[in-house]
Amino acid sequence: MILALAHVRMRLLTLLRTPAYVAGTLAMPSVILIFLGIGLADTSAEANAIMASFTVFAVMGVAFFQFGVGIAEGRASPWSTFERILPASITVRLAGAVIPAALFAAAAAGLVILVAHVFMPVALGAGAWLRLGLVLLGGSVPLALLGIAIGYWVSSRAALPIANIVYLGLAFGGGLFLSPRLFPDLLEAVSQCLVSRHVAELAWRAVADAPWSPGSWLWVAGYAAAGALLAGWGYRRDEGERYR
Amino acid sequence: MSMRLETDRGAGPAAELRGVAKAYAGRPALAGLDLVLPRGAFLALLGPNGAGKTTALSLLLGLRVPDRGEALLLGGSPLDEGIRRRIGATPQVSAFPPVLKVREVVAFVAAHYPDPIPEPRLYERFGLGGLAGRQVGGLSGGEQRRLGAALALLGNPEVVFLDEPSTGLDVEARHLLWDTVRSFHAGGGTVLLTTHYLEEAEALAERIAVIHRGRLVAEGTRREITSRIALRRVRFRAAAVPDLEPVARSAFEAGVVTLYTPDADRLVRRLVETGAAFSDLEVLPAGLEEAFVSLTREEEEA
Repeated sequence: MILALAHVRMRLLTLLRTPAYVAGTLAMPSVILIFLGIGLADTSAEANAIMASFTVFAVMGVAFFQFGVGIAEGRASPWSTFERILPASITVRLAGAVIPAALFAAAAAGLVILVAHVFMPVALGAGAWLRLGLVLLGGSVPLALLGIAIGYWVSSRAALPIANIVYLGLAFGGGLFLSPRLFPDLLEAVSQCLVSRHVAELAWRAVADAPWSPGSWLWVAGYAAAGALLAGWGYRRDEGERYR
Repeated sequence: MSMRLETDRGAGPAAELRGVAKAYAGRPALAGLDLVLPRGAFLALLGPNGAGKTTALSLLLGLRVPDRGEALLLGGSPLDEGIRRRIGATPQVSAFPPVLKVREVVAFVAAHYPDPIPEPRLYERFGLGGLAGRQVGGLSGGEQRRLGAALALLGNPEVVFLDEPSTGLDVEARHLLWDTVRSFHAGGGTVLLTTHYLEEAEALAERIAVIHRGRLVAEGTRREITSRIALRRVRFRAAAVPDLEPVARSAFEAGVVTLYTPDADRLVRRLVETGAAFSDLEVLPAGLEEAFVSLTREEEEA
């Protein structure tokens, strides 16, 4: 337990002292919300949906940057090799990776919620908050696994630009910045296949007190399975190539 | 060479590779390597870059699993957490997360061991006093090396793996580090040093194992390794390198000819017989470097 805390503490200190990471994951979703989102919300329903979109965006940022870029850079870093020599169980190592990510995701989403409340007429019941929380928790699984897959498939130099492209592409294509009602047919067809769209759909329905469509959860589960497969494959492939 | 008392801390050697093979993407890095590190020994694993040193080390540290053969650490699996708690290893060059402070790195690593060296004593022993609050990224190369050695030894390990620990250190820092490693060994600790830095192996290790192309080329005491080749260095001033036998290797720099030979007496007789002008003749013992070059060359020719 104490050892897991030591791992969490070290990871948090490292991340907090990396300004690019803090700005990119913690501040960026709220800043984009201020520039893009708050002007579009006239009603509570619109405000709720926009806030929900940006909480998904916030969680996605942590998934791609902490797992994607973090792992890719870790693969190139002799320090992570040294960490693997230290006697620690897989549980401790997992806790050291997942707990800081969860804390950062909660902080980034919390900041979005705060900004949304300051600038928009947000109004949510307790049930809607709970369902939104569940969507973010469930949605973070495929997003984190895709992030891990990027981390193992992409070199440390390419990781940042690629994570950025996938992150912004999924955010825009999933309708997080612009309501999909405004999408042309082709974009809408593509959007229906993106994991971000389905997490967003679940989030929108949660804040609208509407029932979830089970199809969206199936897409989320499918992406989680695909992400796990890609991540596992990338991990094995990396084990063979990391030879100096 | 001091003889050590056998300490009975469980059966078997401290570390052992048994016929291990490891290939990366079809390229063999180790091709049936056997290596034994007895308890209490100080062994240097020596070889050129790409010889398989890093791979051998990573198998012993549980970073990789051999394709064939077996890697044993303290009689068990290198993947075993309980066994890893009894070993220590240095991180590679400038491996540290730059934004962490020395104190934070030490506390993090110390959290993994049941009985770590208390911080003040650790800082004193490794010359890290006054650095505890500094960010690791701001340390000099020598300070980072000392921190690396401190991290390897802070858990009071039975076996320690040092990977090129003094590369890039100035003379004073190097000797401080060597003294610390020697006193760890004198206290009963087992050491495996991987290096291609020959002065390091020569200064510290009792035994030397030379690996090349994934195989063990030679293994013995430092003296055995050098005497097996028994190269002498014949040095003199001359206008050009004379054509002489027997010469393993020659060098010519600033008017000074250096010849490495298995038979210095015969070589000098031949030199005189040629009648060529020379001055300042010296016959010196060859260091480990020459032995190493010849050993790997023998292997290539075989």
